[in-house]
Amino acid sequence: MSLQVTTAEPWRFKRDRFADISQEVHSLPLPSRALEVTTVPPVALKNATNKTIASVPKRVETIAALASRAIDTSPNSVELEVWEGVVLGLDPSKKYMKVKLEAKSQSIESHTAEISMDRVPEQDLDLVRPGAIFYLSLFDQTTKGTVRNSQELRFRRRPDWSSQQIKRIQADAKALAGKMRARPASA
Amino acid sequence: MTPRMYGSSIVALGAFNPSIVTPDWLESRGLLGKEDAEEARQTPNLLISHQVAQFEGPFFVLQLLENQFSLTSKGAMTALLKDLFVGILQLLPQTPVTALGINFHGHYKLDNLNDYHAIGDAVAPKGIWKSLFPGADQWQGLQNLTMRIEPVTRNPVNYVATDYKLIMIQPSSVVKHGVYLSMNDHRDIASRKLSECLPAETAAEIVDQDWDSANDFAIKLFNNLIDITLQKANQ
Repeated sequence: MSLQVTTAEPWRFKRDRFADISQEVHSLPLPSRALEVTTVPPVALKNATNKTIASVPKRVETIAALASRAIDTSPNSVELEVWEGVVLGLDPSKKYMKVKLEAKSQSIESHTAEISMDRVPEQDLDLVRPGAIFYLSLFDQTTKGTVRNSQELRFRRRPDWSSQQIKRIQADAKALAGKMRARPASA
Repeated sequence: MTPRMYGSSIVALGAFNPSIVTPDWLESRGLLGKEDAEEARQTPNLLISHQVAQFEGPFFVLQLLENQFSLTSKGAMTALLKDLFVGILQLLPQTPVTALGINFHGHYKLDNLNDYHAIGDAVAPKGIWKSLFPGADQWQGLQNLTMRIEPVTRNPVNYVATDYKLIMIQPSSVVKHGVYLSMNDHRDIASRKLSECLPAETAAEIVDQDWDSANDFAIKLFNNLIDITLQKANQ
């Protein structure tokens, strides 16, 4: 059944009930994916006469269900614009980086710019090199009812090529090279 | 229409080893910077065990169970979320991933209470419910509606869709006169013919390639859904 309509709690509810009902909806645990973990009290284990613990009273907790409630994951911001940039080069003093920016959400033509290195987070400084990809984001952040404009520049992090990937690429290249023939000399 | 809040999450199903993925490991493999990793280590609810790994950084909340890996955005930098997910799967290419969900959700504020109700009435007409629950003391309202969209097949017998979209609409819990819209873009990995790539690599490749288009699709879908329902209500 692809359509699920529930009328137990109304869409047209009063304002004071609004938050309560919706909070319940968003804080539902994940019972179907819950992970059962058995916790055996140490005293009971000590008093167990045989080697199995099957007869020892057990307290079963669903850690996954607890974990799903432990962290609030509701969004608090919305992106206004995001640019994906690539570093073209650094100026000799290393105070600026020359970059090419491409807007991701609006039809703005790509353009080059110079960005001060002061705007790069300290943890990303070692990533700044020609060819490095970064994201420049302008967003509204709502904190306790107050909306604030913010921006952030962060560099993309990806793992290095694994040896397995390199082997596969080399094998592909070898196979491709094997299919190539020298171009016949023109008459 | 611009949402008041917008977020995303990526969920993979399969068989995982939660104890591997820790803030230290992510930092050592270059997927988290020093400051981000430190913040993740300081997570009040940090939990690392054989069954569960859970912590959060400045832009993500990570939860890894033995059968499910989910990464949820906290802030606005959703592209970093995608990169982190792709990076983890690239580092664990042998992981048997069976399915993937690329999810986007937003809270949209309507101009007034009438528009708010108009959307609920348009997607879930109340006629049937009013006849079932007559009387002035009975209210009928939409709390949650999920639509499943999947490709049409010429052979419906024994057909099971592998890729589909689930679109959900609810009242917003955080925006007054607002609606909560979400899209789950489900991709089946287990049924794909994996010629050369391993399942985790395939999942990483799908997320890497389709993230932007799925995000654009979700934004347009949410806007169109609101526009169409309001137009219908105003006719």
